[in-house]
Amino acid sequence: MSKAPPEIISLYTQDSSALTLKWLGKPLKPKEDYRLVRGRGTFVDDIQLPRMAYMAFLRSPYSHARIKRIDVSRAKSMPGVLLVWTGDDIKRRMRPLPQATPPPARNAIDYPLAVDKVRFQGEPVAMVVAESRYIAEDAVNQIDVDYEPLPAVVDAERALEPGAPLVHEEVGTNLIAHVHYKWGDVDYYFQHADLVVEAKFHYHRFTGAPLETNAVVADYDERADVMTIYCNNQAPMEWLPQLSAGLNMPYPKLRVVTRDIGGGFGTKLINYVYMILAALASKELKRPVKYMETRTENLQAAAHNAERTCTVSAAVRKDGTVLALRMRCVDDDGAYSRHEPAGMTVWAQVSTGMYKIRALENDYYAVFTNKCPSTSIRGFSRAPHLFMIERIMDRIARRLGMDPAEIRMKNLVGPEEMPYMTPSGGIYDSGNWPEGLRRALEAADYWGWRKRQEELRRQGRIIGVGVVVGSDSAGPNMAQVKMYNPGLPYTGGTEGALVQMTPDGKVRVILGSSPQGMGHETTAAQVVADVLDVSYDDIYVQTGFDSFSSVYTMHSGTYGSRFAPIGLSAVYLAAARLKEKLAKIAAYLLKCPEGDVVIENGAARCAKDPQRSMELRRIARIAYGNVNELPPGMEPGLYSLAIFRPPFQNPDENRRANLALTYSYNVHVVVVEIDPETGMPKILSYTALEDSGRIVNPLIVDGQVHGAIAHGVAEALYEKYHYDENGNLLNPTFVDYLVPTALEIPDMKVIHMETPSPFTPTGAKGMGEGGGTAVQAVISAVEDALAPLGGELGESHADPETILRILKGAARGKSEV
Amino acid sequence: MPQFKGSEVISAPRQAVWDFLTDPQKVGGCVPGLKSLQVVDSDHFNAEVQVGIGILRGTVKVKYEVVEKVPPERIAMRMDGSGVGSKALINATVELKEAQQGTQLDWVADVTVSGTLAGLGARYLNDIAFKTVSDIFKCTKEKLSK
Repeated sequence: MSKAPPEIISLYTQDSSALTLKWLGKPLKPKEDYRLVRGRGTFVDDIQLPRMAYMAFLRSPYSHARIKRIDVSRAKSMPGVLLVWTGDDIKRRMRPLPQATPPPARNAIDYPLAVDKVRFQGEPVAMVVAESRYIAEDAVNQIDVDYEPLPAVVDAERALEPGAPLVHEEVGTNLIAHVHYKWGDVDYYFQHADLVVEAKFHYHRFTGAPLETNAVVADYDERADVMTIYCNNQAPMEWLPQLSAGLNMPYPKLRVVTRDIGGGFGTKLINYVYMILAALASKELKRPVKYMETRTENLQAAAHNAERTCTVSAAVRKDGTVLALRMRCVDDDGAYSRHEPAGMTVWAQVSTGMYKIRALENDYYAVFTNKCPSTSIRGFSRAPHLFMIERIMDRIARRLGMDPAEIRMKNLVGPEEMPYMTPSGGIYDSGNWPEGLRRALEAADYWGWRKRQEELRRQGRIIGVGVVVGSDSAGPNMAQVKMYNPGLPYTGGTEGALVQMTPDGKVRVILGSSPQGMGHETTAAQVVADVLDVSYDDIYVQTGFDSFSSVYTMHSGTYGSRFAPIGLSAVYLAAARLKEKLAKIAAYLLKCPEGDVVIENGAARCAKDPQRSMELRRIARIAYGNVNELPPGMEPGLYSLAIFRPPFQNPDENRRANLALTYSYNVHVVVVEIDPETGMPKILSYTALEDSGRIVNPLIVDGQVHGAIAHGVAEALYEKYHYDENGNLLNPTFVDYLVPTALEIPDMKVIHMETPSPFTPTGAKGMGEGGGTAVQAVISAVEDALAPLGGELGESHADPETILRILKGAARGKSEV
Repeated sequence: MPQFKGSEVISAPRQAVWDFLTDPQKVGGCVPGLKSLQVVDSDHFNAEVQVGIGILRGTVKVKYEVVEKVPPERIAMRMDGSGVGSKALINATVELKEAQQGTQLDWVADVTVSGTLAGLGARYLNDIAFKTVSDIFKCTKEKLSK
């Protein structure tokens, strides 16, 4: 809308005076990679405990059916089988999982094992725990279930129609929630627009396909009455209430541990259902219980993204200025609300995209269907939303005869307006987006490609160029959930860190995050080394999360690209406070005014008299052991704990709020050529510009950019779930669900800009998801190739079949697929 | 799932074909991949069948039931299979007509598959469903022609 008011800017602006900038920005070798590349990581499946038993599941073949009878007698009598449970056994042991949805969807009853009815294919119906996984799987095959198949609902829009089969009868509707958003005078802009451009788009269903599937080892210690759960959940603290309720155990008796995690991409947020089941079984048997999900189980039933269908109208001036948007969206959240319907609000972080759009209206629905429950896969909710905006920008450009790069340049928020406040109250922290676009176009030789495209088209070749400007909003304000359920007691976005200088002068760091390959041990060590000015090699960061020793809040975890903006800010604060204490002790011991103490290169010295100095490890030894030397009254030890709290606020009565702390941005330029025989697009050129604020470690930032492009290209061209009309998932293996190999990933040119965020002490911004820019850019390029033939793409996925249909239709006339 | 059809001409009298098809022990023996057969009564049997479709291998339990009999011309049967994370339901009708060379057997089957099998075998499920049903009647033909 306009530059944010000064009082808001000062509220958010962070002090970064403790930085020395000696270790930030260096391509230091990631600390965790040394063990990971040698196969020395510790993943859940590496954990072997004495007397461990193994869990396996019988899963529903139907997407929707009533369970008439389950006969477990044969399975129970098999040698080596320790326990066989059905939904009824679970129902007796725990309350249903808490629902974050508003009424009436809150009436949905969700247990980790199906009770009375199955609601998606692959839903666990019974579980077996046995002496070995082999026995457990054999016993699963001996369980007989009589089902009464019911009609399935697999289309989100049809799910809202009267008479549609109900996923949850007790809810009485398939509607999970409905929110009407209206920011700014949308009606005025639509009345005064020169033209209105409208289109309908579908964001398809895919997943994150991490290398390591969901896994858990639950170990109940009867003597201590402590339950330890080794898991690979991305945000164990977010689900501790579910675990505590499910197990009926208080938090101090419930230890949740993560170690190395083999990728998450959002899929590992809702695996708490397995954590509860393994823990209940461990408590019953008084033995450790392990579950390791198979790949087919993972693809079929772990976690998908929510599909989204939006009708988008844009009010536009003849010169290409986009004034306002009006949208109607439906999210298909699958069979249970285990993380959703958060997606129906999280998009509002980037409500008007990258543009000076003045007003926005969005009539928003989230629905149940008989499909796998959804969660926040890479670019959660914002990527689909930005997809809708970027697609309509291309359509507007085509209607007006403008170049897609020009219309973006015309509407981008300018650097003079930063920090920029959006109509929905979002505060884009910093950046120079038009300059980023200019540089990306230049690096990609965009205008050269436009010329070549014309020449090649004359030769009959099908060439397309796509350009997209995107944002990777990061560090979420959880108060966003209040937009669909104002009663939820869940707001803010915080993270904890403990930085301790041990008596030998080394530094130990404990984080609240649970990383899955993002290099937190490396970047945290860089920040601590930078603030304390000690060697990077002297910093030891504890791997993973442990609720018995980590510093946590209920937001703790690794999701929403939150570590750089929030986690590292906590690390910075803890290190800065430790530095202050070191300076106080040094001032006393060196008899130097506190303001004159300089801490550098592992020592403290007095600025006025360089002779007066001492190594930090001497101070550390004194602080723990020789405490009579400490300043009178000073508490011994060198522990520093910090919890970073961004100044987030709750949405106002008009649902306006800033919902993320930092806004990285990126520009992707893609050139594709389509093979007219096979319909397969080939990427000829890929250029990405990334500005994620101050770069903490360029190796890690580049790795994130490469990963986001690989996943985005795959989503656009390869990865898509296909369900049939009965809710059968038709591609639950890597034979048909096409995760790309290195051969499918194009060469990419990655360039950087570096505009520090004023809202984080390190200046770093979150950039772990990529904002879906790659999906948008590839689809934009494919549509650009097909446009002269009269074809437009209605989806975020363009497989050869779709493209061939358009090419064939081109012979007959205009087609839209 | 589509409907499948097929015909066989069997060089045996119609009554002999009828007797074969209504004897669970005999028709059960024609189920492809049969591992075990347990006859309940003249209209019901339970079988365990070995399946292997692509990477999916395992045992499927089949419940066979005769739902309609019009001797000696028409028999309707229902086969309910479950296993390897899947359910398969086959409703088949067989009509027997006297022909010059013996008996003409016309069959029609509706097949519904749910679960892992529906996903894993999506691309070749039709072929496999057709082959499974037609193998039963091919086997009938072979055994009676001996």
